[in-house]
Parts: sequence; C-alpha cells; structure tokens
Amino acid sequence: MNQSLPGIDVSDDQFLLAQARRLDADALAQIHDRYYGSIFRYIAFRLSNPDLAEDLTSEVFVRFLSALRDPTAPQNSLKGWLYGVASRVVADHYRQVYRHPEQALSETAVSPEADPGETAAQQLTWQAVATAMAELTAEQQQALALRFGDDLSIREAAQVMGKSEGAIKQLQARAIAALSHRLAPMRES
Amino acid sequence: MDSKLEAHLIICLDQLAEGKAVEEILAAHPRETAIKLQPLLATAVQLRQLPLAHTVAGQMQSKERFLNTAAGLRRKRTAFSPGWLAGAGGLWRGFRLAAAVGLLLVLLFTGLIFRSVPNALPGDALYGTKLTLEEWQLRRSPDSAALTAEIEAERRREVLLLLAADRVASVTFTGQLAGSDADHWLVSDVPTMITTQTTITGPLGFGAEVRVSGQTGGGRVWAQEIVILAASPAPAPTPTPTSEPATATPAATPTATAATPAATTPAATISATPAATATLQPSPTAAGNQNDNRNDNASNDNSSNDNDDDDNDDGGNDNN
Repeated sequence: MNQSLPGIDVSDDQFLLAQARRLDADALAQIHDRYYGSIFRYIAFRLSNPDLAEDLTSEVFVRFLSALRDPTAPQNSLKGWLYGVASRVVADHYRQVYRHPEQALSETAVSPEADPGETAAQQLTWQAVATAMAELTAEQQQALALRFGDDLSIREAAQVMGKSEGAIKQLQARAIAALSHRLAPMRES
Repeated sequence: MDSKLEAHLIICLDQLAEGKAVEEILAAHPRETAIKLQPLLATAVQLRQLPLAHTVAGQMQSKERFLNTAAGLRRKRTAFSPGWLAGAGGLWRGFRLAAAVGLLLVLLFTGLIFRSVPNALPGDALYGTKLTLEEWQLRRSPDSAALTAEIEAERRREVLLLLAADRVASVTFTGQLAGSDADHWLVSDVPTMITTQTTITGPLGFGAEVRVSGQTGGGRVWAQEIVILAASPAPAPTPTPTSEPATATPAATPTATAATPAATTPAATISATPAATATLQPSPTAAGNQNDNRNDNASNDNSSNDNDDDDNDDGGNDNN
C-alpha cells in the first residue's frame, strides 16, 4: 500500500522503516512510542482485556522485528503494516482460545482511579461488546476496531484495509447493526 | 437491516463522527426511522465510550521487551559474522584488496602500454596497436590530409630509427624520390637499395611520390616493391636498362638482407613508361652480392642514366 495516511509523515515512516531494518535502536524506539497506543486500542477493542491487550500489543512489536526481515513485507505504510500484524496476533489469540477453552477470554480491567461500580459496569459492557464482536466477520471487527478503537477516519480505515471509503461505511453500518442486535438482550436487562 | 435503513445509518454514523448528538441526529429523521436508528446509534456511542487507555507501565514493559529483542537480533547478526561469515568477510576484504592492487597494476600496465605505443617500431609487439590507433584517429580526424602526412612522416621516422638501431624489419613507407645513385636511392630521408627482386611500378622521376615496401638492414632499406604514387613534375632520372643478369658477379649477399626473397623469384618488372617495360632478370647466382646482382635502374626512359653497375654496364635488354 503506497498511499499515505493523513496526519502521518510517510516519508518519515519510510526512513524509520529503513533504519528499523538495520535494527537501529533509536528508530525502533520511535516506532514503538509512535504506534503503541494505536495498536493497543485496536487490540483492546477486540479483546475487552487490557492486560491481555498489552501482552498482545507487545507481541505485535516483537513480531514486527521478525517481519522486518521478510522481503515481501510492505515498504511504505508502517502503520498499515503494524495493523496487519496486530490483526494476525488477535486472530492467533482467538485460535488458541478456541483450542484451549480453559484459558479465560477476559479478565478484569479495573482502573485504580475509577469508581469501582462504574468500572464494573464498564467491564461488563466491554465484555459483552467483545463477546458480541467476536461473532462478527473479521472485516467487520477490523472496521469497528479501526473506527471506534483507534478512532481512525473513514479514509484512514479505508487505506489501512485497502478498501474504498464506501465499503468501509457499509462494513461499519452492518457491523453496528449486527452488534446492536447481539447486545440488545444486555441493554434490555 | 434493509438497504434504506442502512443508508440512513451510514449518514447518521457520519454525523455522529462529526460530533453531533444522537438526539439531534434522530430529530432529522421520521419517527419510525428514528426508532429503528436509536439502538444502533446507542451501540455506536457505547463503542466510543469503551475504556481503551493503556498503562504507562505496560507501554514501558513492551518497549523494553521490543528493544531487548532487537538487541538480541543485533547480537545474533554480529555473533554470526565472526564465524564462517567473518572468515568470508576477511576473505572478501582480502579479495577486495587483491582486486584493488590488481586494478592498480592493470592501470599502470595500461598506462605504460599507452606510453609505449607511440614509440613502437615495426616488429614490436605493440606496433599493430599503434597502426590501429592511427587508423582510428584518421577516421575521426576532420583534417585527414594533415594527419595522413603526419602518419607518413612517422613511418619514415620509424624506418630511420630501425636503420639507426640496425634492426631487421619489414617496412612500408612513402616519400619523394629525392635522389638516386644507381641502385642507391634516397626516398625522402631514407636510403633505399634497389635489388634484382625489386619491382618498380609507375613512371619514375625525381620528386615522384613513391611507396616503398622492403626490409631494413645494413643501414638501408632493401626495396622489394616500389610503387610510384604520383609522377614527378620533371622527367624521371634513373632508369637504365639493366645488364644481363646472368653475368652478374657472385658477390656475397649482405646478411641484413637475409629476409629478402630468394633470388629465384622472377625479375623485377619495370613499367616506368607506357612505352616500354623493363624486366630485369636476376642472376642465377643469386647468392652473390645483391648489390652486384641488382637490376640497376628501374625506369626505362632515356634520360640520364645513373647506372653505375660495374658488371652490367652495357645497357642490357629492357624487355627481358
């Protein structure tokens, strides 16, 4: 994908990527600082477990190091590439959970500053959302994670997913409808 | 979800992303549609409110792991190279050094060659290169006449150098017939010897431009062929019908002419004038002194006869 993402200095990304291929510590540190938050939100949105999301986000960056040596890896969009790695990491996680159901899909996500009651309510909502999200198609999950997790614009999400803006809008609308349908019982209760 | 509702939802989600309140968005739709849209927009709002903030500690741990892994990979890379790769690297450095030295030698050698080429003489290994370069220069020169003159002068210079060094070599050069004393000719500055094997073609005369092919040796060029390229403005000086070769004295052949053709070859053909062609018969005792067995003069016109051949001073038969 050669298109640039608005707000992202692609030439700078390309420079960072070139430096990262040489395992330059400064470049790698900059990449981590710049994209950790986005990748975390993208993963957390789909998992409802912040601790697990942090582990998997960390895993994304480690896998990124291996991917740097892949000659077929994209050369330009660092962010798009990281989202791609993140998507595979989440998919691998779900595959592992399905194979080993004893592993809990979600744990607690308690913020020390938050009100315990509010936190519990948020956690319940998050778990319900994550459970409902897991039943969506992979593309719908990715579209929602990009739009609502990482707060990308339609255009940015379209560029990351390699689709038209219209396709993203449609994916998003259908995902919201499906999610709403699945969350209806919880909302009623 | 029907397509109409989907279209409405897409518009509503755009408006929501722009920051509009749900109530405001729904108010723009008919009540029935608004009722259907309301839970969908509530879900979208709910998604926006999920607590997706990461912890600083989590980020620091991830960064540490990331950079440590990278450092490990870097160490692997460098640890890998001291092994066979380091050996290969050393080999590669050695190869590069050898290649550099080789290239330097090639350049030096090439430089020496190019310095040597202009001084090459007939018989030298680089003489062919010199001729090729001259030919190439001639093709590219805008003033080929001047360059041709230079090249012709160079040929004569080469011959003089060969004569000075007393070297035996086949040569071809052009020059003007500046003088002749029987079989001793002077072509420009080059002393040229006419022998019984010398073939002379064309009308001779002082000042005639001739091309001489022959062999150097003994301080002169032993002509095998002389071609008159341009006739002299004045009548030609030399030709004396030659003597009877059969009576030539058997003097010794100079060693310098060892490379000249054997005396068993046909006689030199002289076609100095259209009227008569003098063909001189070589002596059967060709091993004798070529100076003595020579066909003294090539031309057949009846101008001054410079023939000083002691053995064949009877004029001989021009048309042998």
